[in-house]
Amino acid sequence: MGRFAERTAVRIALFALIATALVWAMLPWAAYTNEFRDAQVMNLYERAAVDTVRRFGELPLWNPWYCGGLYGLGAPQSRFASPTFLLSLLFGMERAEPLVVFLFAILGMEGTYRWVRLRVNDATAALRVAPLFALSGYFSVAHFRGWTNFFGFELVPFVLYGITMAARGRTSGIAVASIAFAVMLGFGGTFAAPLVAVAAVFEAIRAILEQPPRRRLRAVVMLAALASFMAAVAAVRLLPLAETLVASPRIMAGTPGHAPKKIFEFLVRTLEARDGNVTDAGMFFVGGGFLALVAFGGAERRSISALIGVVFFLWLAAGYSRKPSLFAILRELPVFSALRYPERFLWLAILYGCEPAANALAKLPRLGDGRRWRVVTSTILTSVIVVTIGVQIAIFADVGSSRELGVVAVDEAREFRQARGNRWLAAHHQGIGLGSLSCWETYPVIMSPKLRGDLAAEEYLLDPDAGTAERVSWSPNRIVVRVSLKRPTRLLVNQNWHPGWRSSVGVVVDDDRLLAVDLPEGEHEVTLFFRPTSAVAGGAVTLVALGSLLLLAIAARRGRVPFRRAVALRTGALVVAPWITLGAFVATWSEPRYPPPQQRNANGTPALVSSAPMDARPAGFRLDFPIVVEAVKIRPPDALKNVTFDLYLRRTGPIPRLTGMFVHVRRRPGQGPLPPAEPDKPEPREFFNADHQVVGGSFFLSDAPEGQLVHDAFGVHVGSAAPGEYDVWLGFGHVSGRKWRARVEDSGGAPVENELVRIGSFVVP
Amino acid sequence: MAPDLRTSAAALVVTIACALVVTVRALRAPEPQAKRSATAAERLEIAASIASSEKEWMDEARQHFPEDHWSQRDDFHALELRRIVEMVEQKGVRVEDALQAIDDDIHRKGARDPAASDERYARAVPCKPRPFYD
Repeated sequence: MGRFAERTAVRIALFALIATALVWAMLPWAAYTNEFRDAQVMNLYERAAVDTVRRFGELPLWNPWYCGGLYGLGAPQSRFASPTFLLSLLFGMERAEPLVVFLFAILGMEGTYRWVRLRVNDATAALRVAPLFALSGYFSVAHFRGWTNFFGFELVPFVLYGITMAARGRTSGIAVASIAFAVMLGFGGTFAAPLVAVAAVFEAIRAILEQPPRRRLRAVVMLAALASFMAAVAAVRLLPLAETLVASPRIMAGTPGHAPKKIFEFLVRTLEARDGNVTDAGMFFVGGGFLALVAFGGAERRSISALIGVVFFLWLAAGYSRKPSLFAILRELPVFSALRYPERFLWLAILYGCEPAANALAKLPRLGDGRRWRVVTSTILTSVIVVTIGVQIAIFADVGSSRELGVVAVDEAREFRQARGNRWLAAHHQGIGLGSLSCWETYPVIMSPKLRGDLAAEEYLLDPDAGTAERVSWSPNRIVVRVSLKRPTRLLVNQNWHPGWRSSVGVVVDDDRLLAVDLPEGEHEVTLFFRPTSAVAGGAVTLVALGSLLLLAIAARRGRVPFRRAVALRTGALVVAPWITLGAFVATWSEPRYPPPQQRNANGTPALVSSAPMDARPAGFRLDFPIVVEAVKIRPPDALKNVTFDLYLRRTGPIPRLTGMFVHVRRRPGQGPLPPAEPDKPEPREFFNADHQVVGGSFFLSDAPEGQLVHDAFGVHVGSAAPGEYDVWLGFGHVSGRKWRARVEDSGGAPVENELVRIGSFVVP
Repeated sequence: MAPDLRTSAAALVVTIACALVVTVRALRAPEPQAKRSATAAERLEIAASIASSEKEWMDEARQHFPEDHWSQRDDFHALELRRIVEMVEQKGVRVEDALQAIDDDIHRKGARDPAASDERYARAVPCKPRPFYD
């Protein structure tokens, strides 16, 4: 059996059969669109990219159909920057999807086999465990929710395989890891890059320590080259992504965490679709049999490093529920601060668990004597694996059959225009040429408040009396407008501005984030075109990196060991070449940069101000904590029964990221009992909570500029409040509300309870 | 260990057969039955129904998310979605016709500049996702 398992063609055939079984239930519905809310956006991105290439013959750099226009290549969740886009181009987005899942499932199994096989002697054992990661529960979740880009995670084993191979001195490892990472990143997913970075660091340390001491320096040098190539080959995607996320960073607060019982349920319970979504239990289904194998194999000495990996990633997956929290430490790092779901580290725990599981499969049959024992044990263990794979496939089919499916009607004849739109039906808008200004994304998309979904014309003059503007032609990356002007004025285009927009006439300007061109008087045919430097520079760096990799591979085939003294200079030059290319672009970069993000409250008011308004009441209390509350304004319930708060405060010293502001609205005691609930109305309440950690959804309290007056505006709906007088209490402390609270040193005469100061009152009639 | 690249003809045939079966089945999967186009009267009815409820939806959204403009607008659209789905299912017409009808209705007046009045909530509210959802 072992020699069959070692044959690549045999393995791929077996994996292809399993992948066929996996997608089988998808195939009859291949022409349908997933209508799940997130799928609307993912599908819109892919459809927009296909349309841009097929209908307009352009690269899908700019996507005008969503949020008023955004940088397609820089959108973290778009997936067209990978070879699988060819399938979407050929067959259409919907029909390409099962093919993409089929391909990635095979790659996931083959990658897992190769990676596990590096440290497990038994090829059949590695072959048997390989599908368990590639079919694990979260891929069913991704399928249900239309998160097709999450299938890129199937390439993680190849990245880890490449890292170990490179540490062992093999040039092919650099190529495998770099290309796998670039494809994964091109295929989208906000989580792929940071998760892979953590796994890559762990794997690199493990691979270096496995080397004999005299070879460790070589391993470090090889891995440094690998890291350089990983970034350089992915540059075509990495630079636009970096540009987007630096200009509009994602803020993620909270202290998510999972108790061991919940993590166990993630792994062993069966995933189900319920109430239009999937259950938490079973999200990472690999089955109890797999866990037993991991436990048994983990007891072996050779599995120790992998087992450390399992524990490490389980620890991360527990989030804030484990003390100390590794996840909390990770979130202190810049790129990782936006990580949201710690449980996704279970993916890596499962992957690292494959190695001890394979060791258990290899060892258990050898524990007893005689052929009969070996055959019976092997059969039982293989049956456990086969049953688990069967259950995984059944879950994928079952959950998939519960998807809400629909069809997107296409009308290519309609001219593009922005609509008010609806992000819950975004893909349907794109089909009929409408852009949806209703926008949801995982990061704050930079949008102009001047965008409108009811304009008489999409291109118009700031000064309508200065002349006329008429659209000549339109495509996503190129807009031609005939303009006749009696005097200079500004041409406004109903799309977002981006530094990559250029004009054949006049000067492109950022008009409150709206795309605009300042034009001189006269007759002009203005051609606006989108050519962002980050895409051009990233593309050039990627091409040079791929060329360098090719030369490195050719040299390796000729027997040259990279970084050996005779060829060290040449290898070094190949590693550096992509960065020299990038340096040349940086030196000549003339494109404007996005201005710093505007710090605003969720109601649009500025979050950083110079003084409190006159009608705000001074707050006279002092804390043993570097926060000073200067003024407070509380507006009593309005016609909609909303109470609004404006707090003016300063951070006067460093405070922890997990500092929360506690705002409790509580009915004053001694006003009699709560009235009974009226029929069909909610129970009357006497407590409302407005605790938060982030000012206006824009920045953590801890990141407020020191000494600067912060305006924090928020509201509470008190529609269900029992009538009476209510007090508003304010305090600061650990966001969980349990660990610590800032002590009130001087309340200025205001009542204090549990280190909360009463800052005001209002009446609910 | 270097992978063994020897190929087995049978394995190759199986792989190709799987790829072909998946591809052919995906390409030959039946087209979904298209719903009929909405009539002019139905379009008007849908647009009117949406327009008449917008104020109420926005008030509801303002109560769900006081002082949070993006969340309010997102909630507004969730309520709008419910009505659209209800109406297109009841009438058996394409969802795109409903969207087009709503957009045509909103565009009917044709605003001339960003400062024009905005009774139909057609002005963009920049995306500002809440820092956490759960």
